[in-house]
Amino acid sequence: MTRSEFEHIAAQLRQRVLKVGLDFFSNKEDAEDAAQETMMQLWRYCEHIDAERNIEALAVRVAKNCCVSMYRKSSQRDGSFVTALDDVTKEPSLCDNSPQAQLEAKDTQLMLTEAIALLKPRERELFEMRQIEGLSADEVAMKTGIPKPSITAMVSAARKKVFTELKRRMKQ
Amino acid sequence: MTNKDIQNLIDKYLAGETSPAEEKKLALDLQQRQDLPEDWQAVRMMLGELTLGEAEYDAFMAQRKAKPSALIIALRIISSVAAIWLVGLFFYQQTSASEPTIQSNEVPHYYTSQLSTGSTLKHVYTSRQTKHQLISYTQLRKMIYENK
Repeated sequence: MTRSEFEHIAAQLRQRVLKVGLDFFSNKEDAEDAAQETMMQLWRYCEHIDAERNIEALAVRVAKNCCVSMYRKSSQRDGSFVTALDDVTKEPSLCDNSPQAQLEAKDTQLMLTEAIALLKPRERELFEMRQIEGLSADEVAMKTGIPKPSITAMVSAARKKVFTELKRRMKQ
Repeated sequence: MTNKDIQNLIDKYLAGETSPAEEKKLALDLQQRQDLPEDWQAVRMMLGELTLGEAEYDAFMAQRKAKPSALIIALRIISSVAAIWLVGLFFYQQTSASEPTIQSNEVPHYYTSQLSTGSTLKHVYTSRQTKHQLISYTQLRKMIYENK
C-alpha cells in the first residue's frame, strides 16, 4: 500500500481506532493520543501492507497495543506499579519499558522478521494473515478461496519453519 | 493452565489448528511465566507483540465488564432505597385509606374536643359538618395540608 492510498482511508481508519481507545480509556483525550500513536505506526508500516489485506483488522490490533502500552507508561509515570493490567498479566516486570527491555524486543522483532522472510510468498502471506491480521482459518479461507484444510496445512508448515529458524538463531 | 495444557496448545498452534482466541490465551499465559524452555520462548516470539497486546486488552476489558464501576454501584443503591421507600409509602397510604369514615353527624366527641378554639382544623371540620358532608379525619388533615 502506498502512502497516498493510506491517506485515502486514513480518516475512516482513525474513527475506528478512536473507538477502540474510547472503549478502553473512557476519556477522549487519552483516546485521541492512542489514535494518533496508532495512525503514526500504521503510517510507518503502510508500505509493507498489501493493499488487498484487511487493514482495518490490523489497525484495530495496533490500536489495542497502543492503548495497553500507553496505560502501562502512564501507570509507571504515576509510580503505581500495581495496575489493573498487571492484575491481568500478573507479571509487571516482563512488560517493562526499560531501555534494555526495548532493545531485547527490537532484537526479537528482527529475528522474527528475518525468519518470516525465509518463507515462500504464499506461506508468508498466510502466516501474516493469521499472525498479524489475527484472522481465523475460516476467514483466511473465505478471503483467499483456498479450502480450510489446505490453509491449516500451509500455516502449519510456515509456523514450523519459523519455529525451527528461531530456535536455530537462539542457539547461536 | 498447566504445563501440559500449554504444551498441547503449542502443538496445536504449530499444527495450524488454534483459533485466534486460543492463541491469545497462549500468549497471555506464556507472558506470565519466567524461565521458559527454548521451544516455548520461540513460540512466544512467534505469537508476537500484537497477539499479546490484543490479549491483554481483551482480558482487561473483560475484567472491567465483570467488575461494575462505582457509579453503577451507587445507582444500584439509590434505586434500591427508592424502591423500598415507594413500597413503604404504598403500604402507608393503604393503611391511611382504610381508616373508618366518620359521618359528620356522628363525630365522636374526642375528635372535636382536642381542637383548640379558632383553629383552622376546627373551622373546616365544623363547616363540613354543617353541610352534612361525609368526611374522615385523615382526609380533612390531608386537605388542610394541601391547602384546599
